[in-house]
Amino acid sequence: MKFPFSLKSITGSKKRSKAIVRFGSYFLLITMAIVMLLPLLWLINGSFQPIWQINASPVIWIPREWKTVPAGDTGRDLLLWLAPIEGSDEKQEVIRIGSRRYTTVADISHIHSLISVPKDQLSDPESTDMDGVALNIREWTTPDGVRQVVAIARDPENKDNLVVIEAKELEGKISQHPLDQVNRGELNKVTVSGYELNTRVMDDGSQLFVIGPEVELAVVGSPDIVADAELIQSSRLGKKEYMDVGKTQLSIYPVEGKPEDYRAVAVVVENWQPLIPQSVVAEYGFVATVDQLSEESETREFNNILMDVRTYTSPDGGEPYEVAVLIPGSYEFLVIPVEHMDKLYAGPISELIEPGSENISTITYRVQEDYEVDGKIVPSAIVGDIQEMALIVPSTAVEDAFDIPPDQLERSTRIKLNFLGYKRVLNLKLSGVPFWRFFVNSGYVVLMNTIGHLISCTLVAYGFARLRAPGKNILFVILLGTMMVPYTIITLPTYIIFRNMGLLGTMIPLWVRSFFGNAFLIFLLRQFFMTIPYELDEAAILDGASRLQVLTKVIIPLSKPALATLGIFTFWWYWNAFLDPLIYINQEKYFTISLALNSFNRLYAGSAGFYDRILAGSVLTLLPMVIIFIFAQRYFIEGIQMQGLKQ
Amino acid sequence: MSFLGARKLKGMERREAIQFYLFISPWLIGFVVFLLYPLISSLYYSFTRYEIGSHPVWIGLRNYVEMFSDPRYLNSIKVTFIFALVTIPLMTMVALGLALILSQKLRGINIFRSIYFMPSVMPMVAVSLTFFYVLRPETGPLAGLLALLGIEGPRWLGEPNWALLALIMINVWLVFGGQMVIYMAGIKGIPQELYEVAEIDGAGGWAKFWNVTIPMLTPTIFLNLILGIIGAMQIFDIPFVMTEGGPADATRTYMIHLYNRGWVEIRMGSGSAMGWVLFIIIMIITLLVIKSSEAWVYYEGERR
Repeated sequence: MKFPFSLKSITGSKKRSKAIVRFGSYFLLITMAIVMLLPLLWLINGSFQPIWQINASPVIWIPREWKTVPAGDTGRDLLLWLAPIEGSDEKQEVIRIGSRRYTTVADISHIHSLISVPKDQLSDPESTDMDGVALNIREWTTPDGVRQVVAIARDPENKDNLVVIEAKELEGKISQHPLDQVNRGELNKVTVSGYELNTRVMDDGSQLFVIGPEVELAVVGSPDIVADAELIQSSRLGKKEYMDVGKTQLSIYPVEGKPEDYRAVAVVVENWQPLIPQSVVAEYGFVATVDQLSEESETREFNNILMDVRTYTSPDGGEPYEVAVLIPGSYEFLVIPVEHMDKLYAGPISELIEPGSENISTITYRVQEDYEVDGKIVPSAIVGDIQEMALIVPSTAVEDAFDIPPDQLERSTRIKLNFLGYKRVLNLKLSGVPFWRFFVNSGYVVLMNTIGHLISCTLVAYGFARLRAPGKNILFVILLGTMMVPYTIITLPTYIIFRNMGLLGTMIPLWVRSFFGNAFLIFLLRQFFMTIPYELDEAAILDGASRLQVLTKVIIPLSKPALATLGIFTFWWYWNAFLDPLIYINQEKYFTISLALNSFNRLYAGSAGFYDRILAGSVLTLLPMVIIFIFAQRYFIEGIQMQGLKQ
Repeated sequence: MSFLGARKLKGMERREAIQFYLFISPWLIGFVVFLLYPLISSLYYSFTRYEIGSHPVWIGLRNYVEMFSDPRYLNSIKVTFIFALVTIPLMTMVALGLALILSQKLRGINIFRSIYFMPSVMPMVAVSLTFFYVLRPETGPLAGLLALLGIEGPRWLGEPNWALLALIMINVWLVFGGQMVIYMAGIKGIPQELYEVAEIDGAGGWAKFWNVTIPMLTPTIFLNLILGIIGAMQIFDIPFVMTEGGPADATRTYMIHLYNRGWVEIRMGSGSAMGWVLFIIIMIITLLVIKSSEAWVYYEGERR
């Protein structure tokens, strides 16, 4: 058909107007195609991104891997950052080895002309950058206009007033000093404009007044520092000392059990969770009652992790032996013989999210199903007590370090597809039910509905297409009418029917109705059956075939395209179904994929650390439909167009 | 024909009639058990107080009275109407416009048709989660795209007005493809002679469009309108997954309200009453559209 628009009257040339229409059409088509595809492409792109990237702001488009450096043989990888090299455009790779607080100070000699101002004339402080130094500036609304001031102190005589100094007085006179250095200076009091101010006397005799605010700078150093890193209990760190390194100062500690003059830099101190592969617990772990265990317990280190060890005496006799307590209880303990404790490891608790659970006898313990160790998924049981651990390096390893505002650090990354989201989601469990099971459930629902539709719709369609009976026409009109019924409104009474039949808690309500036909599919098949010559039926009947045999032997073999449409529509409806599964399925083991995805999202939408799994799960759910669509698009389109023909 | 022969024929007719009813019995049973009975029983339940585990107790019109004095319920009607009133014209414009463009003889039409149609076969939940990700403030790809253009986007699902608009756009994005494909079939079905006749009469492009294409498409527009109304009034999946009706009930559609009443508060009587009211609302709107169709839908062979 020719496109009816013509811009002839405007351009005067038919050829040109045609070209313009074509250009405009393509422009619209391409714009719309981008709108349609972009969300799906973004989803696929996002599913290959690691969590830090998914949560990054501003958005990072191309999937990247954040480069890391292994910290000795502790199993911990430290993130690499790029820091600008002073006086050059180049950047260097560094690791963060600590942080240092700085505060804004001014020499007390620069503080003068102080004014006491009622608080209600001042705005809230806003952190402002003045010559590279942070300053909390407030706006003071006076009758003559707005003045920028910095609050210095409370007015001791008037509680509702603040003592302020005009910001411009401080210009060029403020600087940032390490908080620890300032605080080590001796306290002194100086009176300025009648107000007593606290100052700190520095080694060079200068007196600093702390204005604030405090800012935290990152201390960074070369990645080589951690080549000999060790992971120790942070309780082994001694009293903090300070060491000058490069242009900064680091906190160093003596370490219990190390030589007297040894000093360590604690690169990371964080809470770690002892973990042990779930398979080891399932095989060797057992429940011991309190009377089978020795009363006295010993805290022992396995792979630098502290665990409670007791002696176990079996009620069946035999030599007592040592066991580690995985999960303590009041009467029953989950224990494991100490020789299996070489499998023990620990993970920073920041990497553990909302785990599942397992049981041995009466004891329930938590399991992180999708825990990742060295790029592999190892379902890990959460055992023992959280412990604070420090990743230390000898202070002699740190030769150069400097401070840098964290916002000047850039992640050191390289382009790489990340499959961890997929690995994790496939290993994930929802109340103990593995993710693949939801695909199987959806497949089962689709299969049962397809069987149901195949049987019922062919029978009914044959009746309407071939057999004559009183009332047939009115029944056909009713059949067509039911296609227009808003079915969601009868979900509630239908639910009551299934409840009264005792079918809640089974998957039957999700497919049994298909055995009673579907108006649209019946209509579709009937239209197709009508195109098959009736002589074929007659010939078969003359040969002694029954009506049912005609249907199965003659009609169905000739109706493959219509049956393909039936199968594809059934797959479409039931793979995508949500309201029915939501209503009828209350046990996770029967969840369909859409239901499971929704539950995942509900459980973890708040925890940003879960997002790679949701994206990967969404892609996996979309995938079967995309594949079917690519190969069977024709059937979808022809089937939908049937709806338009029915009047 | 002998008397006996006539009786025999009648017997065969009867046999065929019995066979007909046997063949269609699955649908007939399903129609009664899973459509008629639920409809009628829910009418009865709507006049009762019915909590799961107990028997329905007749309370007359109290469910209806209580329902219409519940501001949250009235709000859900408002939300659903806004949703339908924005969705349907928008969807008709996009679907009809693209169908017209795609009905030209242009290269690559099939690819564009596939791209537009594909989302309408996708699982609503996965699509909802996709948009959940796309619309995340600050870290979502859409926010990233807007940031490249120097625009700070709204918090989409976090702000009442934006949330409903976002859901409408997502719904249009998701389902317009089906309508577009129906329009394409409608356009294909317009007899070429009509254009030729119009040309002889001296009609230009616009005249042909307004006097041939649009009138001939009115039955298709009419059908899509009714399908659109029925679909939009029952919208559930997208708001349920994406916003759970929030923020501040801005996307709490009729079906979400009904779902909460029936399955969260487990008040079957009140939920049934809501189902019936929605049924009546949809019927009234549909009948109004059918009534109005006499004025604007053109049927071939129709005489005036």
